[in-house]
Amino acid sequence: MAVSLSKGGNISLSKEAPGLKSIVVGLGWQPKVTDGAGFDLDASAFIVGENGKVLSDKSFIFFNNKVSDDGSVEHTGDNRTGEGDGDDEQIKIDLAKLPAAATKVAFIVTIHEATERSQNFGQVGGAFIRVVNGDGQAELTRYDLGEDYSTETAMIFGELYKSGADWKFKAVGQGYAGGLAKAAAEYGVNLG
Amino acid sequence: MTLLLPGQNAPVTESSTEVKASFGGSVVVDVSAYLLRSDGKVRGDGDMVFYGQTTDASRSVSIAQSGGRGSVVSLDLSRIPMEVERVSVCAAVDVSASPGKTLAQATPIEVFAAGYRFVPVPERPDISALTLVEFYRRAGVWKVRAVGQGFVGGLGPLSKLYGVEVSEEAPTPPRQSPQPAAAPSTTSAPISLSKVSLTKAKPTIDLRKGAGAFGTLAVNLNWNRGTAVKRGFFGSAKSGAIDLDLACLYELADGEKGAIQALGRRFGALDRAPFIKLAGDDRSGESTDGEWMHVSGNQWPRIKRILVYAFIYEGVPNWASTDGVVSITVQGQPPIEVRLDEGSGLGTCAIALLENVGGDIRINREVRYFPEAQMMDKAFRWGMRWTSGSK
Repeated sequence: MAVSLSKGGNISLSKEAPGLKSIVVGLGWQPKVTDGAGFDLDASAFIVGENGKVLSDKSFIFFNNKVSDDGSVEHTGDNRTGEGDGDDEQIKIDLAKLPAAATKVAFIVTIHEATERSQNFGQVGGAFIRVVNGDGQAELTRYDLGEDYSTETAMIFGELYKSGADWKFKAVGQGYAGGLAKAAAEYGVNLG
Repeated sequence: MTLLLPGQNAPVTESSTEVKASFGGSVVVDVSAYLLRSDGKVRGDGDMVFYGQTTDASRSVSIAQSGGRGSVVSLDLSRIPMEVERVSVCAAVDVSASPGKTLAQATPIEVFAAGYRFVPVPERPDISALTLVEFYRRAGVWKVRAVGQGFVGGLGPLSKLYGVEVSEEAPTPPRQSPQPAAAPSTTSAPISLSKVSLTKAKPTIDLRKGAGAFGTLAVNLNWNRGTAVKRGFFGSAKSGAIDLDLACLYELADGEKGAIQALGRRFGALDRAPFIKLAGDDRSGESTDGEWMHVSGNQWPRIKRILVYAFIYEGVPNWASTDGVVSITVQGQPPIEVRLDEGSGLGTCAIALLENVGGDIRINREVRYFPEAQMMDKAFRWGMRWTSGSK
C-alpha cells in the first residue's frame, strides 16, 4: 500500500522497499478544460550535490537532454497535452548509477510558454507525483498537490534525497514565478 | 483596485459579495452562474442561475441585469449549501439575439468580483462562452479565482462541463452538438406537426386579427402528474404526485390589474371584466386534459396584457419531470405550444406573455422561474399587492 504524502511530508523509500534498485517517478496534471491555447507542461529533473547546484550541465534532465551523462536518470518522453489519467511524464532513476556526489534529485514541472499563453498553475488541477518501484512497478508513495496555486509558472513537485544510506522522498509542492530557464539558473545550470 | 490575472486567486473578505460584468461592442451576452459540487457538476436544475431562473434553489446566488450592457450576480456565500464547493460565473453570447457573434467581439469584458478587477481576453477569436470567475471554498473560507477560459461552441459545452444538459434549439457550430441523453419524454402530449412551438430561439409569434374579431382563446396546461417513476433531466428517479396550478396576471386597457387563480377562488369571468375565466381546478389528477383558462377574443381590444403562469401547489418543484406543456389555441389558428423544458427548483413559472400590440395578439414565450409570484410580478413590473391565501 503506497503511502500518501502531504505537502512537506517525507518517506524512506529504502525502508518501504528494502533492496530498492531503481525507481520510476511519474508526474501528472490535468489542465482545465477549455478551447483556448493548449497547455504544455514539462517535467525536468536536476541532480544536485551538497551545494544545491547541479553536478554538471548534463545533470539537468529535460526534453532536450533526456539522459544524464552517467545514465542514472532518464526522461522517457514528453506528453504535450496532459490528457489521460495516468502519468503524463515519467523519469526513471537507477539508484546504483547515481554518482556518489549526488545528494538530491529535484523534480520540477514548468509550463511551456506560460507568459505567452497567459498560463499558470492556477489553471492546472489534479497535479501529482508518485514514486514507483522500478522492479515490479509497485507504487511506493504518492503526493497529490492539492494546494491552492495561483500565478506560479514553475513548481517543485518533489525531491529524492539521500539520508545516510537511505533514499528518501519529500513532497515539496513549492511554486514560483519564472520558467524552465529560471529553474535551471537556480540550480546552477550554465545556459547557452 | 487589485487587478487579477487569469488563474490568479485572492481571498474574499465579505460573505455578501457580487460580480459585475460588462461587455463592449453590440453583442448580446448572457451571464449565468453554476453552483457546483466537489466533482465540478451541479446537483440539479436548481443550481443553475440565468435569465430564465434568476436565483438558485437556496436563494444564495441571484442574477439581475445591471441596466445597459451588463449583469450583476449577487452571492451570499454564508448561505450557500455546504455540498456546493464552487460557484462559477460565466458569460455566453446569446446566439438567438447575436447569431454568429463571439466574445472577442464583445471586448472589453470587464469583471468586478469581490472587490477585484479582472479583464478576461478570449484566447481565440471564435470563443463564444467563458468562465469569468469562480468562487471556491478553501480551508473553510471562500476565495475567488479569475478564470477567463472558455469554449468555441458557446453555452452548450460550457453547460455540459458543469453537468447541465441543455437542449439547444439555437444554431450551434457544425460539430456534433450534445443532445440531452435523457430528455423529458413527451408521453403527456402527442407530437404534433401542425403546432407552432415557441422556443428559446424563436420565442415570439404575432397573431393578426383577420376579418372580424378573435374567437375564444383557450389556454391549456397539461403535465405528467408523476404517477409513474420516471427519469428526469439529471437521471435521478422522481416520483410523487405533482399538482400544477394554472394562473395569470392581467392588465386591462383601462388600467385595472389583477390575478386569476384558484388560490383565493379568483376564477374571473368571460362576459365582464377581466374577460378571462379559469375552469375549475383539477386537483384530482383524474382529468387527462389538464387545466383550462379561456380569454374572450371579442374583448381583446380591452385587454392590455396577460401573463400566463403556473405554480407547483403540491409536490417538490421539479419542472423538468412534469413534462409540462402550455398550449394556446385561437380559433382558426394553429395551436401554439410552449414546453416547460427548462427545469428549475423554484415554485413559480412565468410561461407566456400575451400582449395587445395594435389589436394583434403577440405571444412571447417566457419560461422564467421565480420563488414566488411576488418576485415574478416585480420582474414583469406588474405592480400588484400580494397577500397569502389558500384554496
